[in-house]
Amino acid sequence: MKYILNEDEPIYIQIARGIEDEILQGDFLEEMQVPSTNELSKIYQINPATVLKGINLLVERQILYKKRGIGMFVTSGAVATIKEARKENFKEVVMAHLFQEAKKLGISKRELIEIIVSSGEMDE
Amino acid sequence: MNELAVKIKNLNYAFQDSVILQGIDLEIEPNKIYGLIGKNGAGKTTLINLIANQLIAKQGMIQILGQDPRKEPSTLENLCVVREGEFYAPHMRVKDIFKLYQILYKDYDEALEKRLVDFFKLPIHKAYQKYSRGMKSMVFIIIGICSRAPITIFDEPTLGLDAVSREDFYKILLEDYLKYPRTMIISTHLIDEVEQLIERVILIDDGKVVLNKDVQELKEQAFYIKGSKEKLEKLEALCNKFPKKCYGKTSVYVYFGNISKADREVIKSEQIEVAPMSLQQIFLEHIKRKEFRDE
Repeated sequence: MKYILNEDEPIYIQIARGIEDEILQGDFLEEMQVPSTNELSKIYQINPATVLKGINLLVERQILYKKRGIGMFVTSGAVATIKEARKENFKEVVMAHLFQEAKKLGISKRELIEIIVSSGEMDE
Repeated sequence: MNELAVKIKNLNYAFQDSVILQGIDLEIEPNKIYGLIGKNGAGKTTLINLIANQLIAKQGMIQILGQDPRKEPSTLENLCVVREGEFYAPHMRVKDIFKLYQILYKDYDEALEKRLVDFFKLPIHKAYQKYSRGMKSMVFIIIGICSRAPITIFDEPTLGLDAVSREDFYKILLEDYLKYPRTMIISTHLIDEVEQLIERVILIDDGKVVLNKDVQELKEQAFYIKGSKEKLEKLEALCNKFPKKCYGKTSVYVYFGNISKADREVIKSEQIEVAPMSLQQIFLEHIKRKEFRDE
């Protein structure tokens, strides 16, 4: 749900993530221009300073760069950068949370592996 | 750039025997949307009236765009204040009220006014006093936005408006601000509704400025922290602090500030729940618990 914001995380982080998602999905290609701060402000109905914070976060991560007088563009290699950062996050946060839950419920490592193996959800 | 839109130093105001504002120091930066919040009677409207030069303080300094309005009244042409309450000539036709403001503000956008009048279906040939409360609010919202004054103050602009009309107002305001950036101050009780619209928030309580901060920054340093007593004892953030609530073995704390790296590790490993606070909740906590203030 790209354009719906939740109350659990800072808005600018959700904005940054929304743009990253669109880059991953191919809605924004590398070296293509992304919507302006004003356009995003209108789409999300939020103050443009918040949008700018999200965009600056992506500039810091080298996902976007600025072309003076024109706007913000997707950096070459952004897709790889995003995937790598998200893989790290996957291990550190998502999996850590999964292990914690499993421990809480008394699910053993073996059981967990079985669940993954038999799930049929993932590619080999 | 960038002189301040409004600069206030040591403003004090009393009425008869009550002190309404005490030692107000306030800097309002240009071209940002501010929210002005506070309980009824905190002094918000008095502050707005002082800025508008409709009340004169005996003590303190106010500057609008670097000029003292008492010495240079022309600086007030940069200010448009839209407020709830009765208009001084309610028998006037709304059409003529609009004309009056078109003359007062040199950048007034008549075309936008017409579009908004059509959109909200306002019967502008009728007298203002025949309007419902919501419609009256609408008139001044339209004037406030169309004036394009470099500094526009909306004092409780949404009284009497239903949720749909309020959403329309915020949307129209935001769009016009994006096209024509200027300083806007919105005084309101509907804190959650304007939370995403405003950039900075000013909180007034008991005649004093309690907060003047960037909303995002404020929210990044405001948390509910919940867990069992033993777990929470490990956090340096909560050292010497009192919980907001206790039930059974669980306590909930309100914490304003940064969470250290060490604490983050503890939160992760002990599975302590940390949740953000809405702007309204932050406001309530600041009003109720004086130890949180930065005065």
